[in-house]
Amino acid sequence: MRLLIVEDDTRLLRTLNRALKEEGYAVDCAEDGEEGLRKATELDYDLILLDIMLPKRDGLSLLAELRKTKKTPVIFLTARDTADDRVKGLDQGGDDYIVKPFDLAELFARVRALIRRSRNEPSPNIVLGDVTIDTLSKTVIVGGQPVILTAREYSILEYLAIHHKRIVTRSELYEHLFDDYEDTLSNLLDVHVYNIRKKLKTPLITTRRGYGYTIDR
Amino acid sequence: MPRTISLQLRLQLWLGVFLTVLIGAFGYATYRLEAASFYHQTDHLLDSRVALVASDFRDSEHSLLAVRDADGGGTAPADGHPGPSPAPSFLPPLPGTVPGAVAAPPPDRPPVLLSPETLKLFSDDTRDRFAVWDAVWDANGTLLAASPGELPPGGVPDPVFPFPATARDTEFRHLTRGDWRIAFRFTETGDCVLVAHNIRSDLSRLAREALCIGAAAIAAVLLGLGGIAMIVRPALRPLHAISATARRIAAGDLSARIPETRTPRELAVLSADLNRTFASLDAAFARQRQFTSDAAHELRTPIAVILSETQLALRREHTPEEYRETLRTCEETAQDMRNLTESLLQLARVDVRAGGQAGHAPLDLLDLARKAAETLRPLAEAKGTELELPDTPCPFRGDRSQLLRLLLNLAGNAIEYAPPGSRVRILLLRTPSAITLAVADNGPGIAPADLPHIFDRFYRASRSRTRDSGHSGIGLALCKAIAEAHGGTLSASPTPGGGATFTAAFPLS
Repeated sequence: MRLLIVEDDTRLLRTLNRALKEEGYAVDCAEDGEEGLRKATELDYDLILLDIMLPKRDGLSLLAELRKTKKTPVIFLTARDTADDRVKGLDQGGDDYIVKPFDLAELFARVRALIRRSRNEPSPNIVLGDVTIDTLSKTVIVGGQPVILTAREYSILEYLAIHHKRIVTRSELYEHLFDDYEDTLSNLLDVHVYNIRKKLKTPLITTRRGYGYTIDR
Repeated sequence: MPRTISLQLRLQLWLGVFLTVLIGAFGYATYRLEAASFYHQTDHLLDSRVALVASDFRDSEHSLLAVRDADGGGTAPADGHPGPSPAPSFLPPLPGTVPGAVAAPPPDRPPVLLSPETLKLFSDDTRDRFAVWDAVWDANGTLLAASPGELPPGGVPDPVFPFPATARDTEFRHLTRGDWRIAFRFTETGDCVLVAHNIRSDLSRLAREALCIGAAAIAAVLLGLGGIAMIVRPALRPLHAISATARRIAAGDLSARIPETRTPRELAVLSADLNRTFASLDAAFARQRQFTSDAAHELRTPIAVILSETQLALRREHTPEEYRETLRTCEETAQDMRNLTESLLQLARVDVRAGGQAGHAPLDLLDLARKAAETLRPLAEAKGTELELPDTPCPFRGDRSQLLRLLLNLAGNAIEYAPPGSRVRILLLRTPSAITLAVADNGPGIAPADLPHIFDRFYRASRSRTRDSGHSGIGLALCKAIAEAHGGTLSASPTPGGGATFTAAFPLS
């Protein structure tokens, strides 16, 4: 999952960046409205956390502009707490609205819920045969036995599981799972997928040469 | 409000009392005039009768003398009239004892001869018709003649008393005894001619009239009271509107205003004044609300940082370096919050004091400029910025710490925003009409888009750049509030040749 945070308070930006990365998301940051709009237009983020009061271009106008081309889920993250502000934010195309200061746990939950909703996945559990992926606790159970995956391995598995029955290209995986600052070595994905296969002990993920990966179940 | 009477009741009471007194006086005067007119008419009639009897009597005395000279004895009244008789028994003792009066009546006083016309006056029918009673006494108090028949009940008092029997002034005198109005007169010879008129029916007529007048007066007063109530109530309606509005304001509805249409001029002025007061109160509350909400808003982001950082740190084990990072972030954020709350507190103090000149003392702005420069010197040196000071003293009257804060904020901002190696000048200018304090820099200046907002509370030009340098977005708002608390203004303009100049102007009144 790759997220974009648009927030002008560098300290909060830094903190959220760290927090969401620890949750296993790939995170990009933007400090003003223009930069945020540029990044949001360039990539298909899984979710955008958007402040409203931003330099250069405020969050509402950013979203209005973004909605012309993309349906990316957006959570407003703002200090404006009046009902008017909330209504305006949601009407403008926002999918959720979180008022600062917030609890990190709640923020995570809302992020998860919104990503789930945007995929039409009502349940936090994805069941693929004897493999169950709990997106809430980010754990994988195979045949009743928990399997320990690294955060990166888990997110690759989760992404493939969410998009099962279709081919996920390598570039799509890179786009959604690695952020701007990561060194994207070409064989990194192969190494991760190899490890996942080894740990799950089932041939869940199939490689389609020249295309990418897929889960057929 | 203990023991107070409503204005309406008070007005009605006083107007009622005034009206009652007025109508009462009017009724009484009417009654008195009526009575006076009645007595005047009656007295006039009685007087003419007295005059008639008196002249007749005098004539008769003359003729009597003549008769006595001729006959040597008295004669009976010509037409069988009873003639003079001794004083009726009901009369009080005749004033034979009045000091100076002639002691005894002449024993041989002959009977008086009255002319037929006079005798007719003494006859029953005329007496009944006019309800009069006539009598004549001589100077010694001897009743010489009197009307027949029933005498005035309660008695006709001695007419001579309290007048000396010696009175011979022929003046008409009047008095009222019981139901009788009496006119009498002393002739030159000392005889007393008296005519009494029974005024019982007239008195009861007067009493009836008095009753009528009284009833009319009471009706008028009641009508007047009703009228007063009808006038006073609508006249006081605007006052009710005012108090109703004041109550709504007190209950927290600061948007309430007194309706100013259809209000009398005096109250319209009052209403307008009160409405202005309400409006400024409303504005002050709105400012306060805005300020509080802005302040809360400004505190939300740093609180979010601290919450997120700590919650993140507590979620799972981290490396010592990560914990250090968390603590550093929290510390920096808390410092920011401290600065913000300090600024807010200062602003609130200036706002509170803005009303009065309390705490203002004579001072020299040059001193303050030097002090500010001293404080800012390390910052200026670190940035390689040159700080220029004026050299002429500039005496002023104001709050020392506030004005120092003004200088520190303006000069500090200038040093901070100007690129390294710039020049920041503090200027003081004293003219007969004003003292001007300016801080000019040759830095990047202020973007035209920001210019209208730089004095707004919590407004930051290019926010992301300034937030981390500890700016609360309140410094310039504080400067403006300080300038205004000293009766001055604060404005920003481009420095000729590049940069920004902040000018505080204090008019000298």
